Parts: sequence; C-alpha cells; structure tokens
Amino acid sequence: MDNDGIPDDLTISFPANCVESDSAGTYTATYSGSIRIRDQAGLYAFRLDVGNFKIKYVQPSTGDFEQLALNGFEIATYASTGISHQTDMSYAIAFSYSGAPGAPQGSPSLASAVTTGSITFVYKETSAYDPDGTISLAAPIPSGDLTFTFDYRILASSSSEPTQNFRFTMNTSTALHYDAISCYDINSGAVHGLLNGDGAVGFDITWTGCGTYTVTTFGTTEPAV
Amino acid sequence: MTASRFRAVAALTVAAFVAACGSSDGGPTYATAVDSATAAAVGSDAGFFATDLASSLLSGSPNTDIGSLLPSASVTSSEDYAGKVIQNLRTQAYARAHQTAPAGSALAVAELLGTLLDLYAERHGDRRRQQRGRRGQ
Repeated sequence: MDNDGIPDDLTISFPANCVESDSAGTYTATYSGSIRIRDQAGLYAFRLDVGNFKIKYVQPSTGDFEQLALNGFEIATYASTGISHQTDMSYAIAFSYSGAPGAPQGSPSLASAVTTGSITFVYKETSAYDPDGTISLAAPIPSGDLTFTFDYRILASSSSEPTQNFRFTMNTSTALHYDAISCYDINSGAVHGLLNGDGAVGFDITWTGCGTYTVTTFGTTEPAV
Repeated sequence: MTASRFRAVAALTVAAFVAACGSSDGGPTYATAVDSATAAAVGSDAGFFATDLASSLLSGSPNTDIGSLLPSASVTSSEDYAGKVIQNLRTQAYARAHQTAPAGSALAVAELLGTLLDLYAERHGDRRRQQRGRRGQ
C-alpha cells in the first residue's frame, strides 16, 4: 500500500466448495467468484472489479436459500485537476422459500404463493467534477461543477408473477455548481430525469439557490377516477 | 445518509410505475405510465440524491452510496480488508433491495418478499401498500 488505504493489487478468490456453516448447522454459506482491488494513478484512486461473486445461504433443514450474485466494477480517481467516478454493477438476489415463512403483511395470499423469485438491480453511474482550483490532499476540495449520468434498472420475477422491469435514468442537463466557500451545497444547475427510459415521462430539477431546487414533471398520466 | 436517501429514490421509483408493456425488440420491457404526484416525489428525492452525490464525492473520499464498497483506510491487514469488502458487497446487495442485510447467515425471507410485493403492488392495484412504503422511507 502507498498509505492511501488501497491495496496495490489485491484479488480475493474462493476455491471450489468454499463453504462455511454456523456451529449449530442451521445455515451454510457458499462463496464463489472473485473480487479484485487495484490502486490507480492519482491523488487517491482505485479500481474494483467484481467477477461473478456469489454468496449462497442455505437452510439445510428446509432447503430454503438466498443467493447474492454481483458483477461489475467501480472506478474512482481523485486528481489535482478533477474527480471522476464510475460504477457499473449488477446485484442479483435469487431465493427459494418453502411456505413463505414470515410473509409480510399487506398481500399475504400473494406472498404465500411465492416460492422462488429473483430481483436484479443494475446500477450505472458516471460522475465528473471540475474544480475551480486545484485539488490537493492537504486542503478541502474547492468549488466546482459536477456532472453525472445515472441509470438504474430493476428486474423482478417470481414463481407467482411474470417478469416486471423498472427503469430510472437521470443526468445533469446543466452542470451542478457546488459552492465550497459559504453554501457547502449545490447552488445552481439542473437535472433531467426519465421514469421509464423512453424520454416521454419524467422530471426536471432546477437549483435556484443554495440547496434549493424546484421539480417540474412531464408526460405523466393521472389515474382514472 | 446517502444510502438511505437513495434507497428512498429507488423505492419511489419502484412504486412509480404501472403495468409493463411489451417490447418489440425482444429486450426487457419497462413500465410506461406515471402519475404526476409520483413523478414529483421521485424528482424531489432525485434532488436529494444529486446533493448527496456531490457532498460525498467532495468530502475527500468516494464514500458515496455508489462507492461505499471499499473499507476505510484504517483497516490494516489483508484478511480484514478482504472481509470488509465482502461485507460491504453483501450489505449493498441487500440495500439495493431496500433491505438491511440479515445478521450472520440468516435469510431475509419476509424482507425480500416485501420488496417483491412492492414491485407487484401496482399490478395488483394495492396502492395502500405503496403509500405505506412511501411514508416509511
């Protein structure tokens, strides 16, 4: 390490049949895949790669399980001239329950009908910060302009329902100015958001002062009365 | 703060859509209709997200909801570091589902079913469940 807390190049991998269990034998957890963290050039910078990293929790007495599966990367770079950050990760949770124990209130019949299911979250973000001055390790980051794009998708399916997908995107239509002198917040700029990814339905956010913004919507459909 | 606020955005986003329509290209299909109140609520929370993203990136550490996967610099051994990374990945996976990771190896049965029911709420016309979820953020 170079004293920034980030390993030069660390890979975490799991051998076949990497299983741990609690002392009572109530659960087992099986690990697979890999995780790699690398230091990068810059004042503070790293790259994280997650390769089909899975944790599968199983309750042997019932056969119930949950499996987490993660794939993707995260990159962050703090340099004297600016900051960049990028994430592209998918988080999938698959499960199988017998009898849906502990079904939540609200729709118990539907909950009890669910025996298997999966929910996948795809999370993509790219951000850049252009400072008014120079970034250094010894001083607070100066005021500047932040731009970002963001794409969030949710894919859900279960034994009782067909697959349903949801998507949320937004980006800075005008760079967000961050005031690091007196406001310590965003004081100008705008964000454009879409609620189904096709450009027809969404919102615009406009900052009108320190930490103050207004939201206007478009393309919305009011429910039938 | 960042994580909880963003989860609120995600939850509202989930609650925002009504039944999905078909896709002609064979790819994923997405919901199509959103009412104005929901769109405004999502937009407001998206503003929080932007604010938190800015403050987190500028705090001197990429400790955002997005970039909270690396342990703090105070972790010194490779074993501890690896353990923290795995823990963070696990925590974020459940957080994406708007849930807290269960302790140890326990299963998050009711919580994950709850998330699924939230996703299905509009399909089943269960607006009361959505509204409870929104107030609970």
